[in-house]
Amino acid sequence: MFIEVTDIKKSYGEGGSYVQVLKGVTTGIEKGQICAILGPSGSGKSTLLNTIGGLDTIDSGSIKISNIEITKLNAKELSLYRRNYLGFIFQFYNLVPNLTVKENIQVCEYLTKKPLDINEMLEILGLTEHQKKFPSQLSGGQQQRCAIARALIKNPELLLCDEPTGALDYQASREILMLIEKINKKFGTTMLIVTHNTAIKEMVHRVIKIKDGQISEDYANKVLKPASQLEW
Amino acid sequence: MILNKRIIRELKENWVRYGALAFLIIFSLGLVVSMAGSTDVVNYTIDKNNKKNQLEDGEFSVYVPLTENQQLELEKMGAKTEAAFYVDLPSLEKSVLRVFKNRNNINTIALEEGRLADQIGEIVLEKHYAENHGIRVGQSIEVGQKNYQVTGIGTVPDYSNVVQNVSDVLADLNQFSIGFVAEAEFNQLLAGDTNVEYNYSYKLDGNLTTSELKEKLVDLDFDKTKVANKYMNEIINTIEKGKNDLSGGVNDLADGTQKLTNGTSSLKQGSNELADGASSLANGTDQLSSGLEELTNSNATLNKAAADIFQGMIAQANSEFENIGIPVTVTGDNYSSVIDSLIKTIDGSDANAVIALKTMKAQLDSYKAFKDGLRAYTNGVESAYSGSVELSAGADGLYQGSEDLANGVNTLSNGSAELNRGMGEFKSQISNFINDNMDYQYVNLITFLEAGDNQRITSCKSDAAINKNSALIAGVIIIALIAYMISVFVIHTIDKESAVIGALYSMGYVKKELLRHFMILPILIVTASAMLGTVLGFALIGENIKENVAYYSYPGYSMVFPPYLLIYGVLLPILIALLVNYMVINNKLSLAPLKLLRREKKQHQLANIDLKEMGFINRYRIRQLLREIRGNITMFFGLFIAILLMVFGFSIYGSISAYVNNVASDVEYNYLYLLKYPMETAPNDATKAYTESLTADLYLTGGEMDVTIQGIDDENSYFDFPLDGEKNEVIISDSVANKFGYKVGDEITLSDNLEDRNYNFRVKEVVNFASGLYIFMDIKDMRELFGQEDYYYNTLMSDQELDIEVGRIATVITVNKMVAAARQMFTMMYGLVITILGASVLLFAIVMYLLVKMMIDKSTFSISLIKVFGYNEREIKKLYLGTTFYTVALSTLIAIPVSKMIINQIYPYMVSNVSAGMNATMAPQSYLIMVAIILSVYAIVNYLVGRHLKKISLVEILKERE
Repeated sequence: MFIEVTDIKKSYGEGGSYVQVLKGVTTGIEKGQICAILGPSGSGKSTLLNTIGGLDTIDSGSIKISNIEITKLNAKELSLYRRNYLGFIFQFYNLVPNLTVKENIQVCEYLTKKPLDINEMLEILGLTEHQKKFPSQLSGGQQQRCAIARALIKNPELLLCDEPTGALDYQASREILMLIEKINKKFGTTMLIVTHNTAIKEMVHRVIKIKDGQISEDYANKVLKPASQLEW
Repeated sequence: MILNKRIIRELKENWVRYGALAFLIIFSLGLVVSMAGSTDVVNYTIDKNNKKNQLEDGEFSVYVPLTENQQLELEKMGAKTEAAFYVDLPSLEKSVLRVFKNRNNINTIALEEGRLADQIGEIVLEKHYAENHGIRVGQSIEVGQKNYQVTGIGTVPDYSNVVQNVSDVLADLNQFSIGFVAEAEFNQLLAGDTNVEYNYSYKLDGNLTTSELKEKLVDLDFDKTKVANKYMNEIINTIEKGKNDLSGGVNDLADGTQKLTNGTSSLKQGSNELADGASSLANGTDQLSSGLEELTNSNATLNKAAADIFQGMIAQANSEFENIGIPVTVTGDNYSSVIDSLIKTIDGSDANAVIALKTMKAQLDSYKAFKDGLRAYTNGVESAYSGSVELSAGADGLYQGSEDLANGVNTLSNGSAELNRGMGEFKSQISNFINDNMDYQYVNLITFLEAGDNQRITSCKSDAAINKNSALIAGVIIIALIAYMISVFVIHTIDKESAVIGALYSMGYVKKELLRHFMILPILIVTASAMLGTVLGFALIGENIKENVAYYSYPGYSMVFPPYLLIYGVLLPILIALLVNYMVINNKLSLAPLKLLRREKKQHQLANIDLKEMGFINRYRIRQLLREIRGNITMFFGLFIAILLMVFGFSIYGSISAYVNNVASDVEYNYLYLLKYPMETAPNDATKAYTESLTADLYLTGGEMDVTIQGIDDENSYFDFPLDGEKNEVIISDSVANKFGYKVGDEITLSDNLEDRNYNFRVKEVVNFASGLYIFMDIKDMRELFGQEDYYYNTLMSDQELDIEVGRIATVITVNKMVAAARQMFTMMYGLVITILGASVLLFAIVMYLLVKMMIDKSTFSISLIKVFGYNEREIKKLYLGTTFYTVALSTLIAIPVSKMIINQIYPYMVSNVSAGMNATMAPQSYLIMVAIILSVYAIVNYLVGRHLKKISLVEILKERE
């Protein structure tokens, strides 16, 4: 297993404000798979994503990424882990506002010694003509594509996507999902996508449903629907 | 790192903000570096000049010039001396020019133009005097009613502060200066004027200390017959007269006692003889008395016999009458009348009868006379006897008395002989006493002053040093403030891009990389500004130094670039910025990536404060203020520093104004004459006083400062405080109290460095007297304290100018001169005051504008939101700019009094080198002006930020995601 999550528990707060968000989650994801994590608001899906990404800690349990027990890493080691293995895509893009599209991608190109070719990335993501524009000059979809390119430029083994289409309209969302599919096929990047959009579950290899901090469903799709055919 | 490309763009986008900060840094550093640098330039120039022109180690003055041997002796001991005699002569526009002869080895003249005077009728003038009076080389000037040609213009190191007296508060460059003539010319002046100060400069070669030199000078004798000064001669004669009178008086007394002795000896002899005589007399009278007693004893017998004889004759006469048949009976009492009657009866008829009757009568008369006579005789004998008894008694008494007298006179004689012997011893001892104590070794030394205590030499550097230290301290504070302000703006950026930073952390950026990135901009700004500011500072040295150059007298300055100032101007701001920004930004970037992603902000407990039932508008404002507490606190401190500078500026102005006014109002007399050689009789229209100069320890600098102690009496109409009290009680001026920190009841010690003596006093009262540093006491007590005669005085005060021989006068102080000198301070400090006030207003405006704008920027989302809700511009301004008013009001209310307290504490240090006590005074209207300035700046900033508020569009709310 590329990703091994074993009985992880996570809680917040104390006393009256104590909340147990993850109540013993165990799952595993193979390398190269796209996995959708679905669930209602407050179910713990983003928390699960953040813990796998090393952005949040757990109370107990184990998380192994490519056999690295990330729960035992210190802050510096976690930074290195994220630098070497992960890419992130967020709901609200989080691009650097006063850098151009290309420069935003180059921000992460700097982090790796073996980046992918930036022009190819621009091409793949349809950003070649927009490369000198600033985020404020782009549409939501274009900004998200830029964010994806930024995340991918360092050729991460694992791409974590937190509501990548949450701020986009239908058309843009489809385009993003098609891109995700394309990248997965081209680069074999393992992807975890947290989403409210249940239609996505048809295009992914694995579906994990979380409810009240526990996995309610965890299955593999035998037949994948192309992203271009998704309807919601 | 590609991320760094955003730095220039960030700078361009916020050029106003960063430009203003850079401007502040450049301006502040420019000021500070120019002030500190000008001090260094002054110090360097002075030190260089002092070395080149052989500045003295000290100077001293004497009554009689040293002999060549004495000077050689001193040189052998280790003190090279050079005569620096001078005369003060009247010159242009009632000014006084102190004329020296050219110097050879010590305190030599640094010429700026022309050449030294080498002929009679030539003179070199001090440069400021020449400039102020429009005199150039080649022109002519009248000095002491003689015309001189100006051959050169220059300066000397021992008169860099060209004050007439070392104790003068300020120099008046128009009214007093110095000039140098050739030796021949000076000798002519010496011959013509006896008011010469025999001043010497000295340099020590290390083999002799200052105190050893002073001791030696005190011991040096001088030939009092060679005193040329007629007034000094008067004094010598007066002193010698006293000694002669004493000696003569003792001699007269000795002669007198000798005569007394001789006289009493004669008297003794006489009294002895008198006693002998009285003894003889007593014996004689005793014998007389005895004899008379015997006679007296016979008196009755004699009288009876005489009476019997007379009765017998009467009987015979009766018998004869009976015989001749005349029927008369005569008695002793009637015989004369009877016989006369008979004779009358007979009358010519019987001449024989008549003859017989007459013969009878005659016989009876004679017998009666005999009888009466004998009676009288015996009565006399009896009286004589009584008298002789008394006489004898008296003679006995006389004898006794004369014996006593003789004894007494004997004693007297013996006593006067002893007195005479004692007088001889007394005379001998008086002689010894006169020889021992009145053989005056006239101390030739009048004054002794080390260079380090000489205001003429030291005040230029010490004045500049105070400005420098103050500027450097102020600079550090301002740079720290600006560095912190920059960090606040960086924090604002980090907050704004919090999610982006979280995303970068997520991608694998480490804190070190981001910290380095976010520190680049502030460090770049500070570095560039610091360099520019330092360059500007050095460039402004010329401007800054103008006042110093215009006031103090030294050759043209040489620029220096002291390394420490380069470090201070460039490195120190960078270090401060590094430190401050590192601490602040590091703290911000230490948040967990997830918190950054979620834009979680630390909620201060203050922000959650329960505002109870407060109205909405105020509640909104307070929440806004609390949310921007960091910015508001920064603004508070920024405004505080600006107000501190403003208070400082106004205090300087107020302090000098108060000083000028007080000098004019506190001094009642118009003229004060300090006399070197007082007259025996003072002019009628002058009031006498006694003045001495002592030193007191100045706790502010650890050094010493001259104070004037003045003895006055109750009749002095120029002072209205009572002088009764203990002998050592003094009344000090408020100037002294302020300068030295004395209070009523304090025990103070003043020193006479010339005599190496300390005097202890107790402060009885503090009175208003702004001019100089004065301490007052009863003149009688003062005379006693300083060992002067009962009538001694050396100071005259008057309303009008007095006609006093110039040679007697040490110095004349007039109220007009004092006020003019005080006003000079305005000229010197005006530029500084304007600069400080300008800097404070700029700082105030920039700090307020930048921070308020930043706080508005941070609230763009909420402002946009409430615009969408329908709030109009006025209401939005009220909500967002109203909070600024709270901060400005609070900082003003706190900063003004606190600043005043701070300035009150540090101001005495800043004027520690001024020979007057000056408080940091602010006139009431200054406070009003300050508040007006603050409100005006606030209004302008409010207007500008208001315009920015207007520009926030409603669509921000749609773009921004929180």
